[in-house]
Amino acid sequence: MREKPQAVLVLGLREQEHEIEFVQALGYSILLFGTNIRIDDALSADVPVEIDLNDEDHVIATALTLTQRFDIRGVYTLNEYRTPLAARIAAALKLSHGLSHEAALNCRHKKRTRQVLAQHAVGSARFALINTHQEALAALRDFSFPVIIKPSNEAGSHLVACCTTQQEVLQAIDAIQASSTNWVGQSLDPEILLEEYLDGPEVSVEAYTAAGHTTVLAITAKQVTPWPFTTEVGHLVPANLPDTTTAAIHEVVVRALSALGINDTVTHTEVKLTSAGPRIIEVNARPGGDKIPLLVRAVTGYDLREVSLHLALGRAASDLPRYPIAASSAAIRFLVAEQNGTVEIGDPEEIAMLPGVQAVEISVQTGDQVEQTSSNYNRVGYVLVHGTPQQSASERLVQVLDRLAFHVESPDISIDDPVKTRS
Amino acid sequence: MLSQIPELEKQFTAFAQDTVEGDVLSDRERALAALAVVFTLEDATSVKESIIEAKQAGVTNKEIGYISALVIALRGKKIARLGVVGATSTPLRVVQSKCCE
Repeated sequence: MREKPQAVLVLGLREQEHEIEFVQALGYSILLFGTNIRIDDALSADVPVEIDLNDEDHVIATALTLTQRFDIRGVYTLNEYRTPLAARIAAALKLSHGLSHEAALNCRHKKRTRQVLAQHAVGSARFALINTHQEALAALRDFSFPVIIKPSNEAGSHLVACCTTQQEVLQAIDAIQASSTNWVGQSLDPEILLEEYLDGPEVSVEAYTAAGHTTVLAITAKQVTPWPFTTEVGHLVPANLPDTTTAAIHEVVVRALSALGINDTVTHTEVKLTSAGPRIIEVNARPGGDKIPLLVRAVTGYDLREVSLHLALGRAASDLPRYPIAASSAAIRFLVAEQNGTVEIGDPEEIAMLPGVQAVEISVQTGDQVEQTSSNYNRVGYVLVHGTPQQSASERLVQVLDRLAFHVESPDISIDDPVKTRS
Repeated sequence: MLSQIPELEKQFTAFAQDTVEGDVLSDRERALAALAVVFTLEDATSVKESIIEAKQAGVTNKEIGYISALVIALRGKKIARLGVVGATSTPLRVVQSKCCE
């Protein structure tokens, strides 16, 4: 009898993350499942299946049907919202490897993350779960302002608010309760998180766990806009930290991943460096977004997305794919409009020629009107830079940004100007 | 719109179902025929849906490309003929004297 072709089930593509190419490079057939598949992705896949990924039972039944034609060796997703589904499919296919459904849920639902970390006494934020204004007001007696209000099963900082008054807390709750579903149409958990605000610099920890052992590949320093918008402006690998801080971060992340039941996956853990030590903000059971895999690859040789696929296929950590190290440091800076107005910016082609510049993607030009950047979803471009031991990526970024001279002029409306004030 | 005439809609639904589920063509052959039709419709959504169905039926990218080329060639030939004197899609009338009409 003819052997069935070996395949990888790829779930819910993330934009510009090249999941299909990574699977193709390993020679597997691609069974691509997505709620809305693009024509080019449909052509790249061996079997594209356009299906409502929120109808998990139907997705699993369809995956099982495909086992008549394919030997499915792994389920692969980089999509935060789909990690629990990927784990469910892997279990239904009786794969002996891959993240467990329990662990995926522990990460995907932030309330479960907080509960599990609290049970295991891992440094995290104090929290309360609330359903109503009354419960929030009662819970606030145990907290001092500012506090964080966030939905349990959303992502991308969507509907997260830092509140400094009772009124802001109630408004943040109303904003969450005005939505019945999250970004991808899954029901929002009615229990809302009220958390203490953790003060300090933020880093993310890029790691993988295999055979129960966690390896930290990189710590990424982050630059975030101040509240009320928590837009990520830049990332730098490696974060420049004292050895004692690095060791403390490793310790808390390894304990957190163990408590959450993480195995056979890459993780992106966000950590605040508070005066009381590192505290976990959240744990994502997939590689970080925002081009962080490109920064980590440049500095360590490991591509987190490929490592993730490797582990989803049950391959050994001793056999991880690795590229030559390309830089001693790497950084990305996103361009954000600090206000509504008119863009002024230098020539991106000239910027691309500067030392160390790897990529420039800018969606605006001088004279364009832009709105103030309010989230990661409406930034207006980025520059990615590699550094050398002689000149770090941070130093190079300063030069690049000076030359780019990006800024947004506010609309200059004056009552002396009859044209601009004409209604 | 067809739902405004329930009897016709019922007949159409039965017809469409019989056609789609019929066994005159294999799934693969039917997918190829459907591809040719949707390419002529020039509707991106229909093309995508048809490509997905075709690939599920085992049609290769090369075959999809060929169907696309075939549609382009046939339509191109028709367009090219528009400029040829005397070329027409309707039969030429033979001019005869009135006496024979």
